[in-house]
Amino acid sequence: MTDRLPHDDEEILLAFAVEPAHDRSTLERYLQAYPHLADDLIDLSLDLRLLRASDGASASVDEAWVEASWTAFQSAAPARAPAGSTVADPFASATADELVALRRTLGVPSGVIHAFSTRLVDIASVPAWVVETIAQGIRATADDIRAFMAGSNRLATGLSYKSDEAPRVADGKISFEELLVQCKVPEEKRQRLLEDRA
Amino acid sequence: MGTRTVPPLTKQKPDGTIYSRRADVEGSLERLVELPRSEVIAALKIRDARSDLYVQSECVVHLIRAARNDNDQSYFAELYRELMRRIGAVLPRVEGERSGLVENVHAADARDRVRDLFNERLSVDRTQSGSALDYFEVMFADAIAALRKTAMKRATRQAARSERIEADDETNEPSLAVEKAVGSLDLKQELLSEDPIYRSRVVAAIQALPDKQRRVIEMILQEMPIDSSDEGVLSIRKAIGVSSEKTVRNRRDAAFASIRKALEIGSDHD
Repeated sequence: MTDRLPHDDEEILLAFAVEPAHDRSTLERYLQAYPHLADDLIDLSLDLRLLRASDGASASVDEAWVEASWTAFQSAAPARAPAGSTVADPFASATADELVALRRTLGVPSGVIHAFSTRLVDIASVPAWVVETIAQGIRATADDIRAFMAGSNRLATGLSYKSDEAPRVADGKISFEELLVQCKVPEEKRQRLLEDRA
Repeated sequence: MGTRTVPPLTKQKPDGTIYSRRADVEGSLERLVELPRSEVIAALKIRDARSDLYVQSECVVHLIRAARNDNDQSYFAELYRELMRRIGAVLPRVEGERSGLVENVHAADARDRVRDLFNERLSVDRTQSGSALDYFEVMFADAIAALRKTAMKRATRQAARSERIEADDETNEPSLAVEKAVGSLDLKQELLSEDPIYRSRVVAAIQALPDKQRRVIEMILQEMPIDSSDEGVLSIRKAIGVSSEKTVRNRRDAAFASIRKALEIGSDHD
């Protein structure tokens, strides 16, 4: 069975979709360049053709879905908080047991989880599946985590790194990889966690 | 005034050039960004895409990105809702009254997944401006179709799909009736029919085909050769990775027979 598409494949399909023409030469170019996506590219090529043919067909608007989507988006990513303080802290309601279970699921030391709850780590550097796993572990959504992590670092007291450098604060977020190195996650484990399975 | 108010896109193509918006989108944006927000919101209500005042979906994407740095929640909400309507409009329909049908569960599920993928990009774009949404300012509907492809691919991992039973097209000989049925159907023309209801029936008939047959149909519509002895020519046989050109022909013939049947059945009921 095919695993989840890596993020790059999503980008390739998007790039194909916005090509100015979807003629034979464009399709062939992508098929030659990305043979592993042959089925998806051909499907998408046909989808785009059918989309054009469906143009003008009246689509009824599903307002209930629109409203539900907005409510969900709002609760997942509340309005930008200039001070970074009004965004709900998804870690606040997590129990100690949940945090321990999460640590075990990911197979990382507690310092790694702590770096998330203190917004030390730069969320953009964290593979989507890790964000998703953390979100599930604390009964939140990936958007909750992202919205929360977008705020500035609030390095918790009591956290100390066995590093020559003092922990950086404010905008000095560290990458997920840097974090794993600092927390002494073994190389092999680190590679697995950094894998982009999106 | 006189200064450029709409910043260019930043996403790079593989060849290093930068994506750009269509001229009509640029034109509309230059106008829209000068309007008071109340007028933008009023313009969003225009449903007729042929109207001069209609706000293209690509523009809605730009406007919501441009609202990144302000706290006007109601304006953002209006744009977000409209984006959801636009997403819903370009995806296969979800029929409330037929909600029990397998296809419909898939359509509803796909719509949610596409929304979630879009939300992911929107959230990233809100926190750190980047190029995650640039594709949607270039060709909105097409980019959504690409997200749908990704979403469905992911969904197959989780949902036990009810696979259609496909004939063993590697060995089966097509029946004489099928052979006969292939000849006179020009699908390209059918898809260009001026009757939108008929077109939607043709679309539905193609969508209902098994994946393998549908792919052959697309490549035939692209006028790719079924097979070629020339190594440099990409044939349908090579693209779908089968050993015999007969497999390609069988899939094509079965697909045409199904489409014809679907269209004829349709005409009886209308």
